[in-house]
Amino acid sequence: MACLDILDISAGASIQDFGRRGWQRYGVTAGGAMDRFALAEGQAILGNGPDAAALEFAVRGGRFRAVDSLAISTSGAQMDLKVNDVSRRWRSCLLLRSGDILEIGYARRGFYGYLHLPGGVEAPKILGSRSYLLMAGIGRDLASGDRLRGVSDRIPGSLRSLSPNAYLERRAIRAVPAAQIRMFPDRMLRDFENSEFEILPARNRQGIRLAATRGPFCLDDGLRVPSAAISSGDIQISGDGTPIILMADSQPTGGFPRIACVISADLDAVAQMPIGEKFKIQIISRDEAVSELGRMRREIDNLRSLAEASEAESAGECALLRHSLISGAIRGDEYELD
Amino acid sequence: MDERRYPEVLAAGECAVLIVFGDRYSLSVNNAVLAFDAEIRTDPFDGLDETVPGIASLQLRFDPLAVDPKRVEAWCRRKLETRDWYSARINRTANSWVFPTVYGGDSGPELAEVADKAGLREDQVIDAHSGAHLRVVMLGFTPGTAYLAELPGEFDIARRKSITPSVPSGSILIAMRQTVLPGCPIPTGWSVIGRTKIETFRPGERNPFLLSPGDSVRFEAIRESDAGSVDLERFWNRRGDGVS
Repeated sequence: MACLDILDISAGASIQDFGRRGWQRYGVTAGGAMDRFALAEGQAILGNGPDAAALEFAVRGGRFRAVDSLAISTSGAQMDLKVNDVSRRWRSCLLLRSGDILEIGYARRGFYGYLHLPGGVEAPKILGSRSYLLMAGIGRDLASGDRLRGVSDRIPGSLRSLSPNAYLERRAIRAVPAAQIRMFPDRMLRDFENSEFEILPARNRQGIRLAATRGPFCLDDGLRVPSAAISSGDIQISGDGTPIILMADSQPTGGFPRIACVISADLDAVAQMPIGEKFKIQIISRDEAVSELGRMRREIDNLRSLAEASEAESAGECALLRHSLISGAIRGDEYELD
Repeated sequence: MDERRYPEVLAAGECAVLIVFGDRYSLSVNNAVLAFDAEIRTDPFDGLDETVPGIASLQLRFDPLAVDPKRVEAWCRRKLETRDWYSARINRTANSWVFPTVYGGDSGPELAEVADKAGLREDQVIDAHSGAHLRVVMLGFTPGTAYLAELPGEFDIARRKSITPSVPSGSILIAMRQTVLPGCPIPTGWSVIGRTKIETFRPGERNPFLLSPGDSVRFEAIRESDAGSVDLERFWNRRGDGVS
């Protein structure tokens, strides 16, 4: 089995895949990875399928010990990465040997990082997904002493990698109108588009609270609508006028009006913005949002061939590495593809 | 409510539309939501992912690369015009439930406060609440958490000023003429007047939800000493066609 023992892990780490579909009518939010593109990247690097789960970290990772030889990959926020105190390349596949210490430190760019195991990180599938949803009692806080298991123990024939993706730095966020946009007067909508927003420290998998240079955007005191379904990306205006971008683990329904909805293609970039980051929100047409979604899906479809291209550059070394890992004659890290 | 305005079909992001049937809860508005929901689930369009009933609205989630959102909206408008959804019979078999409930005491620490706000004695609150035939108008907030309507006018009481960090599943919460029955432990600003042992969410089960929108529920007052003998499996075994 491909196993890692947790020696130390940051608060808020959880196992995530692409989440649950079809249960929102029973009060179950879709959930899933905060950065879905990053999840797909790590899957492509390790050769995992689209239903493989990963370990998601916020801001900082943890320390792990390899129980036996295994392959891993990392993706998402650029985090400090070391194996046995030697720095290694982020967003690539690594081979670990029994006893190796893997250390994932702080994020240097972005907010959410991902650690992938062969076949995905094992966790019970509940309502069609391995994603933790802590508020519903699905999954639990991970702690030192826990063991992470891969679904398979496959060791890839080659080590793939991907170069950093520009979306981690995107600061122009696009949104389309939400269902309640007409509750907000034109003046307020202009303010919204002209405002600069800042990510406040009160952020988690449920939502990201924003400060705004314009506004406030509050309607008549305490104005509510009858509870209605929420989509992730909805920008809710709370009673005090604070905008909150509702994220993967948001409530499935809510009664605060929503002014706009971050387009699917920009939601990963929002998730990856660190606290204190400033950005603007531009309202675009739904047609544009759909074509951006199409572009993102094509990029995701293309990840596997991009990752495969990286292995061709050094196919000979990969073969040697794989051989050496199996024979145990030399250590894998002497042949890192960096 | 401006009757002519509803139902309206609104864009909600690029992957959803929201059909709004009214600006507040009423039996006929919720009827329209659930009847239209049942209709769409019986006769879905290609590309539909799921439908999510709210108290007075229905969200349709779809893949906009599989079906043009403008076509979804046109399809909804056409379908909405085919009949009066506000008086439609809900096209599904709803379950009727009677949940044994312990009111007051440790199970319902805010019973006295609610009685005070409603201008009733505690026993009158229990009689009124347990006598009401309620409907599951929506599931939301957390898995299996049911919103039930509608209580008599005396129960039009505001949420509490402070938030209780966690109340157990099965708590009977009331505010604004509504009852909420949480499917897992939740934080709440609503008043806790009782508790039932019936779980509405069992995460490990293949179909883990006891209730569906449209089900009817009555709470039956029992003594605390009788709570231990409630047979929970009886409830889970008798789910009928109402669960889909």
